[in-house]
Amino acid sequence: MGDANLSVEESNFEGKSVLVLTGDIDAKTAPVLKEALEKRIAAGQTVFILNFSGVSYISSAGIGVLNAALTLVKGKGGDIVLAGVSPVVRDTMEVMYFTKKIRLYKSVPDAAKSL
Amino acid sequence: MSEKRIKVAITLAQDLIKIIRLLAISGKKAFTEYLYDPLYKAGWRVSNHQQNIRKLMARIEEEAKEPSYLQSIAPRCKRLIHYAMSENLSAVGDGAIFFLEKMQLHVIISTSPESLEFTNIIEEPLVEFQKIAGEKSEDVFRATVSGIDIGSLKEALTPVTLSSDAEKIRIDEEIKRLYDNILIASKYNNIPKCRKLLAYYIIRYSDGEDYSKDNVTRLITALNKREGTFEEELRDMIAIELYYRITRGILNGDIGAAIKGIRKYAYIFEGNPESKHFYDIDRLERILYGLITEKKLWDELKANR
Repeated sequence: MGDANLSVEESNFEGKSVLVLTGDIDAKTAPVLKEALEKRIAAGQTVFILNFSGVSYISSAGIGVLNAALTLVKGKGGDIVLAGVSPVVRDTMEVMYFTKKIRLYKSVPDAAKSL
Repeated sequence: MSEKRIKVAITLAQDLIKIIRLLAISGKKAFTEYLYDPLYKAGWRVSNHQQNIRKLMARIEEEAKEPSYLQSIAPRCKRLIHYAMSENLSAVGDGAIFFLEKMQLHVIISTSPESLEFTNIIEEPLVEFQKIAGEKSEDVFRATVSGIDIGSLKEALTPVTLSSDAEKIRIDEEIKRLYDNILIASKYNNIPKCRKLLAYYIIRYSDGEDYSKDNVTRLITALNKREGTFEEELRDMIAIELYYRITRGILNGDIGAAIKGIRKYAYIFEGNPESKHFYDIDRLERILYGLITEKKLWDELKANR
């Protein structure tokens, strides 16, 4: 098992902010995602599209971070949606029951349309 | 340990209890090596006694309820372990856990010379065992998951659904009863009992529909005002308990218990790296998902969900 890395880049799709995640989300990198989300939530952002097409692995630590952020933004009337989730990441989310809580879309345009 | 300890922290006592429980399922050899022998070498033994360990524990239990007896609890627990050493390994384990539980009740007990001496003797060997068990857990986990049949794995990953209205009513009542008990303990300022009940409540119900998170948060905030370390100790207690359940599940080949523990840990600690055993659990998870992927089990697992 090598050292996991995660990068979070901000982009834009038709005026909607998209966070592009690349790498693995595990115990070591979950804090990177947590910081990226919390910083934006603190600045007032409540709607997020997370582009997951570059994420190859997620553990419960990452799901925990997403769940906490999702609860927080939903409490403020916002939402978090995921786009381009790979089958293996989706599988993990399913066994953690997370797909019952969060909406997943094939692509960023699909996700953007839902918001 | 370079600094001289002046008090046995609640989390240390809890951690040692969990390690002793793991030690117990690891067999007599390990139990002797990591608990009995260190105590024996430190002179915690008597050659002869006429005491009945169970009766002695029951007596100490009663005395611990009386504030005027609190000063004598630690010396009596020390004697209890001396007697247990000449009885059998189970008595030693029970006595050690009993003493560690009493240390969590009152500062008079946790700061006593006997408590400090006892934990100084057993901490190092137990932590060494925990390290070995942790490494062993990964191997056992890998072997267990590799050999597990698809039916068992599906069962482990299947969400618990309430089969009937009656079952839901029973769980609702249980939640209410437990929550009421927490409120009563809080009213009587019984902080250790509150912590124990809340830990149980959160572990049991935090992933359920009827979990009243706001009420629990309010209660924790209120209790934290009475005792500044309440929340931190509660979180440590929950993490220790879940890690213990996961490790025990692995060592017993109960993959379902291990996976449930991982899932509960994820939702309770929400990816907070400050949580106890955060990285240990992550390592085990990577092995599990790796093996499921390797064996191409995801589709089968989801088929019956």
